[in-house]
Amino acid sequence: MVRSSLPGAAPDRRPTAGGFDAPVDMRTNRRRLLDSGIALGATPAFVGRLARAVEAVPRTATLDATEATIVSHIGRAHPRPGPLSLDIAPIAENGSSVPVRLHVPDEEHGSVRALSLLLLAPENPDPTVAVWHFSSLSGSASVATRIRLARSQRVVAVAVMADGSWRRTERAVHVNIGGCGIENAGPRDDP
Amino acid sequence: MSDGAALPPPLAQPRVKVPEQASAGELITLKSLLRHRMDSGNRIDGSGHPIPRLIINRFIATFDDELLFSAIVEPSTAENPFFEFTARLTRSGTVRFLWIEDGGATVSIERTITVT
Amino acid sequence: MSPLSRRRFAGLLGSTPVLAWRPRTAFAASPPRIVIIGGGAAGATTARLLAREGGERLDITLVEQTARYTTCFQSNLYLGGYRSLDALTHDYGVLARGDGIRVIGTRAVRIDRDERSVHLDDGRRLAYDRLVVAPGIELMYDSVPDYSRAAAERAPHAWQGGAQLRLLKSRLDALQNGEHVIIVAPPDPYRCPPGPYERASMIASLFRRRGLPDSRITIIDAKPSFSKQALFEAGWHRYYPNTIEWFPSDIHGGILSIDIEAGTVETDLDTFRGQLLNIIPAQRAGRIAREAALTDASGFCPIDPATMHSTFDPAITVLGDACIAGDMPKSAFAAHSQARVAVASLLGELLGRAMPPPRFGNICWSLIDEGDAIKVGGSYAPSGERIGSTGSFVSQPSDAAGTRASNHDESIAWYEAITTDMFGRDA
Repeated sequence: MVRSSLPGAAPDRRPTAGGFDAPVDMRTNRRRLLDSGIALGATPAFVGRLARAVEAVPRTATLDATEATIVSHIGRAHPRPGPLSLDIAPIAENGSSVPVRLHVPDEEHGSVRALSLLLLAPENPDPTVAVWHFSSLSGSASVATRIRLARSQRVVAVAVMADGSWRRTERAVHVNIGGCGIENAGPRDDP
Repeated sequence: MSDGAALPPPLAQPRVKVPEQASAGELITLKSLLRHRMDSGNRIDGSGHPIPRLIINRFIATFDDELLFSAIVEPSTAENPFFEFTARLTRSGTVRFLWIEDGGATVSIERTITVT
Repeated sequence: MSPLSRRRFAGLLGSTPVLAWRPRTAFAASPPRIVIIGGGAAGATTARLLAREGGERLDITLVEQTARYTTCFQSNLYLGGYRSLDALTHDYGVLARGDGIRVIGTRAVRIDRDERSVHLDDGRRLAYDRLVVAPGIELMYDSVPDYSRAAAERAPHAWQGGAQLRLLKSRLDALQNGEHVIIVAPPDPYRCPPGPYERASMIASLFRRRGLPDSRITIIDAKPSFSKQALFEAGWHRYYPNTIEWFPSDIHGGILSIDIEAGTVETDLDTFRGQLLNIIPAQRAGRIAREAALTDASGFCPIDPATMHSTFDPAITVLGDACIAGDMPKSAFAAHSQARVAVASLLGELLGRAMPPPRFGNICWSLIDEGDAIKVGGSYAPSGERIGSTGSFVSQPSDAAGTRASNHDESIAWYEAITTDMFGRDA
């Protein structure tokens, strides 16, 4: 779920360990999305309504405010340990297009559903990559995409769960620009 | 927009992959790709002028009248936004994909799927 | 003239199974026999350097089946119309007339490591004291669905041999406006990492020059990224907007089938159609190396980085595209550099010459458009059991135009220098 408030809008809104000070009504947001989806027919009115329902991500997150950025997206929620896989190669040949795959593994085994995934590249001028929302038709909370990395950094993934909790993981990626290819890639993988 | 600024180029034709058939309850994989520069607003062109921001900022996939998957897309998503995601369906229907660009231009494409 | 008289040479023919066999230690009596398989950047350079440094103290035979050798390096420039085929084609006349190199223009079919002999396809055998194996690559046609050696006549790879290169050029020159090219690019490791992308650039340049504004190039890549990608993509946006489209493996999801006649490539994402398919399959070391058990599970030949000897056989040196060269890419520059280290090692072993510390270098140039060439390169040295990088450089997006133009001039000058090292130069 996504909130519309700006991160760090007031000093007293910075997160304390384990909790957040601003409420969010996840049921209300979810109903709004479904209402909009029902009317989908790509009419201008629909598009406007749906776009407003999927709320804007603030663009003013500062590089040292990753936690605040997460808060701004997920609002009031409790971090809770749980599996979240973030697959990204430790060395990226080309920072302008880096493949990444996110997945919440235990969802398919009947445990609590993930509502959305969020990916951050804190060292980028625009640290947010995207927020992805899943539905009851999704079958799994997983997405593969390509991201931009301005420089070597630790990318951060967050999963927001339907029970109000959230999970987090991160991976360090070293970014090369250029290079002459990977030599001696080892035993050939099966095609 | 300054005087004489050109309109953004029309959105390209997207490419999507939806299986033609699936079993009810089977986990299927969907793919979507749209050719787009995703100009973040942070780049400077050869003459030293900043290239203004122009990105795809929303991606929405629906199955018939229901929301299936959606994304708020930000500039750190790479050029030519690509999303691979899953669905578990119990009936036949139409998957529609919609992309929305800064400024409101849209492009959409749909595929039918037979679920038995 | 070759030091070997015709009569003695004729004595190598005949019915005895192994000819001119002598104990391995009897070097003092007659010059050690060095046989070199392959007359490319590694093999031809090795032959000429050994001849120049060893003279009559070495008996050097070069086996190369091609009489007129068209270099794969810079062949993309011929496709783009920037170099002529004649400028890229060389013969072994000067090399053969030079002192001390016997050139045999047939194919080597088998290495007998126990016997230390090379079997030729005309039935002859060459005994060796030291063998240099530089056969280049073997194309693995079945790494691409529905592709084969026969299919390459309709969908050329143009990654080996002059005939394939001429075939691709004639197909390109026959394209009409609105007709498209699909390039299938191979997985690592392969000969010339930036090659497919320089080729796409050269084809786009050809489209522009021939006035084909509606023709497109689609690259279906087995890899998720490629050499100098940011530089190529910046060049493509600048010079060839909306002309070249690249699909990496994680996005297209794999090639399911290819219909050569219809010109379609079906992937998990979508089916692509083109009037000309350029399919570059996966590669491994030349077959003669593999069948001699000189390769490992990677399909290429492991070597000792200080000497370039095969780790499986100290009497055999493996050079160029066929060997596992650690951080060095598979390129002509690298093959030539490895040849110099190998020659120093052989001169040390056979003639007692002092060997300098082994050092390697590489530069790969790629022409994106007229007057704009990018380059990447590095220096290398033995690092444990492999060749490791000791420094590298690459073109920058911020390069001045003059830098990119002089890169190209530099590559032309290098071409003249390496082909002189390989083939010699007519007076």
